[in-house]
Amino acid sequence: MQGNEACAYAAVVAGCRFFAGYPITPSSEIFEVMARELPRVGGVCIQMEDEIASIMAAIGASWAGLKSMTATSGPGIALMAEAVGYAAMTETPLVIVDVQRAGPATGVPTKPSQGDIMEIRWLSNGDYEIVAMYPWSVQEVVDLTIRAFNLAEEFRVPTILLMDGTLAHLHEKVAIPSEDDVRLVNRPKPSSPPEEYMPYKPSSYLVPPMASFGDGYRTRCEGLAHDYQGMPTSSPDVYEELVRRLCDKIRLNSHRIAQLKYYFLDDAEVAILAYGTMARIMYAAIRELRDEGERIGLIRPITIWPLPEELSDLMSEMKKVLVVEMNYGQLVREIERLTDRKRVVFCPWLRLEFPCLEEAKAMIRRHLHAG
Amino acid sequence: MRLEVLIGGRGGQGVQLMAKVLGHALAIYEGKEVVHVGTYGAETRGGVSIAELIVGDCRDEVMCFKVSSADIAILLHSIALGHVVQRLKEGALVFIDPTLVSAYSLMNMKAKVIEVSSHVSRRHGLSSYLNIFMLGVMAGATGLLKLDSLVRSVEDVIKRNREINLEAARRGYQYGIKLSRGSRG
Amino acid sequence: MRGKQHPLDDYIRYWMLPTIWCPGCGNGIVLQALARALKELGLRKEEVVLVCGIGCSGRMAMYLDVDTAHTLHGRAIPFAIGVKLAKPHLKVIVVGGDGDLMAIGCSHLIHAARRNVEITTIMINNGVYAMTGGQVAPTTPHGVKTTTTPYGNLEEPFNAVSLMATSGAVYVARWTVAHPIQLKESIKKAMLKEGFSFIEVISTCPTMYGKFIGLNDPASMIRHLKKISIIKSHVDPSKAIIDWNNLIVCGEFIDREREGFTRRIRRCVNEARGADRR
Repeated sequence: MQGNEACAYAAVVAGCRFFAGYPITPSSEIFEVMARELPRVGGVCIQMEDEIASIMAAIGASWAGLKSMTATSGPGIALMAEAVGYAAMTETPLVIVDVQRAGPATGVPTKPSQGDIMEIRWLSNGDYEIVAMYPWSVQEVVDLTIRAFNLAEEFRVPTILLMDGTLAHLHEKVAIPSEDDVRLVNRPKPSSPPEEYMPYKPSSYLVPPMASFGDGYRTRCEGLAHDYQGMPTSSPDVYEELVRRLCDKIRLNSHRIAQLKYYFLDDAEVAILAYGTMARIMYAAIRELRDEGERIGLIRPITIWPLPEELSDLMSEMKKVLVVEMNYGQLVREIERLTDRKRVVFCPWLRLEFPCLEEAKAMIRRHLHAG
Repeated sequence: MRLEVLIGGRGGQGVQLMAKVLGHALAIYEGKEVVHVGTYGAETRGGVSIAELIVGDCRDEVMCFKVSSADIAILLHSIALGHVVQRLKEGALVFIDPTLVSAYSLMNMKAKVIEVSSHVSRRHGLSSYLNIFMLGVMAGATGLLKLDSLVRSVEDVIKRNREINLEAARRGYQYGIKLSRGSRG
Repeated sequence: MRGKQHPLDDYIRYWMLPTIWCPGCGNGIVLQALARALKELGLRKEEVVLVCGIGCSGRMAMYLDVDTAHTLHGRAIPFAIGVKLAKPHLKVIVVGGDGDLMAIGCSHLIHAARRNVEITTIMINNGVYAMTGGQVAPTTPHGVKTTTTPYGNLEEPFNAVSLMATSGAVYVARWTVAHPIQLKESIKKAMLKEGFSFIEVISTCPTMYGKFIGLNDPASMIRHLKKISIIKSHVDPSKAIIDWNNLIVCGEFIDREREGFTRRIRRCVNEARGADRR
């Protein structure tokens, strides 16, 4: 099964019952599978007139109580920017899949890239946090799609699943779990009666319980800065508390959200830091280079936003950290902030296809022994 | 053991379907780890279509999904020639249809070219199923997978015209065995 | 603490009053007509959802005491579609201004009418971008000087009812805020239709638009609207003239039957599930 199909099937298992989308290469197969599968489980799939309408419909459906998703690629994400800020401000559980293609603008639609790393982080105006994850195999697409829904629900936050044109069309053997075999999380529900319910009053872990439309709570979805009642305000006190909370509910809970994996670090002097599809090429290259005697290992953030806190510690033990990205310098800037800058070497790859093993090894060798 | 397979042709010839059938057969019925990635131009018909398959015994062997020196290649159209010849291992087996790809163009390669005349598939009325026929030939000639695995995979993956595709797979496989015996003898 | 004093208190978040709207603004009349319509239809508050865009009219989401959403500029309709498809038993109402629905959100409006999603859209048309300080709107008449057309508007305005009739809405009407009773009755009728219903309400903005056309106080604006509007139902919507100088044709222009979108979805789901069972 290919990455796009796996993502769609996993979404259904995760409880997704609403999908709104607009066709765009290389994400369209997600939409096509959802269009076929959702009606069979009583869900709704609709093609909207553009990406803005797609994400807004998904937000509306989420407020009406359904787990919702949309999928697109970089240009579509750009159109969704304002609405992602709206979802963050209104604390809407929502999953957005971004299948990255080479940009900017229309770019090269059929070719992969990792160029949306910063785009997805800084979509909207203002301060807020999102969650973003990037798998490296089709099986991990399944696992992280389910996790994306769980995190979106638990933290009431727009959660982005990153893929790229290659992973989206990569065929591998996968196991799609049944609903009984996975732990599914649902958004926190109010325990107070409707008269006492305050839609934006946070719980102990900073996330407010969420009443759905039609539940009788007469709740409010408000994109203006708002108080606990959801009423617009320009009070500096209320504003500061709100914005701090929108960020802190992710920052302070990042130990529960962020994940990374590392490989061969025990004796490594140099670490390669790569994520998603690029990381698995690096993994294969590192294995062979280690056979040749190179003492290198791999650090792979699975959660791109928020970045795992352990990264600093892991990198501090390395002489060098080679950051390999399929872009011209995005996550590397964030990595430089987390460690001594002099340690970081950036290796961009802009060849429209992921490197083959020989190319990857050559690139690593070149940087290992330079300077 | 890690094995790299490259299939090239023109969009619409069924290159990606071949790769899907092959990958499914190996992964599900032969217990292999397989990764297959397809690349094609913006157009789904008429452009270059390439499928890369990595086959291994363990997960680590298929982490890199790019073919850089193919052990086996199937070339269905000369349009994909350039993409295939530069990624062949020395001594690679290359299956071609000489009516669509000139064996001459592969002459300087240190590869073993196996010409599968389309007359063979045409004789059986299978000319529209050349892709699965060729896949059968490759499977039979190399012994990469059992006929039974191929047949079951065709049954799983192909919904339309299943019977005739099954026949193409079987005939191709038998022809492949004949070819390999011929080459030995 | 204020006790219950007004017959509409049940539908209004009276503790949020007074509204932010200027004296003489037509929005209050529309809010009241909407609340009365809900009451007279006997709808329970938990079965109604109000979705608003951005602009003066968008603030209605603060005052009607149902589930409400104050969305992004122009995006009330796609949000409302999501709500309606997710919970088809809810009555979904969109209230937006002419800038919201005819400019930035125009394509959503057209497509919602085409799909015939069961949503009642009330477009409050005050002829201008009021909240941002009086810029030209796609509904501003030709020649009117606004802050962004200091030499007069060079463009022609949209005829919203004609656009909606062409796009497939099952109910299309136009009233002014000088027709509160007709407006209320029209909202009731619209909410009972199966499909996309659209009501344009010509409203008064003495603060911004009034001063551009020489009608500075609320009373003279309402009097003017009364004077130039005539009710002519079932006239061809493309001939339903809207001319602030001479004539505004009001009435019900379209009232037809067409299968609603959520009914089609329900059938699709049943068929998909039935196919699985077989």
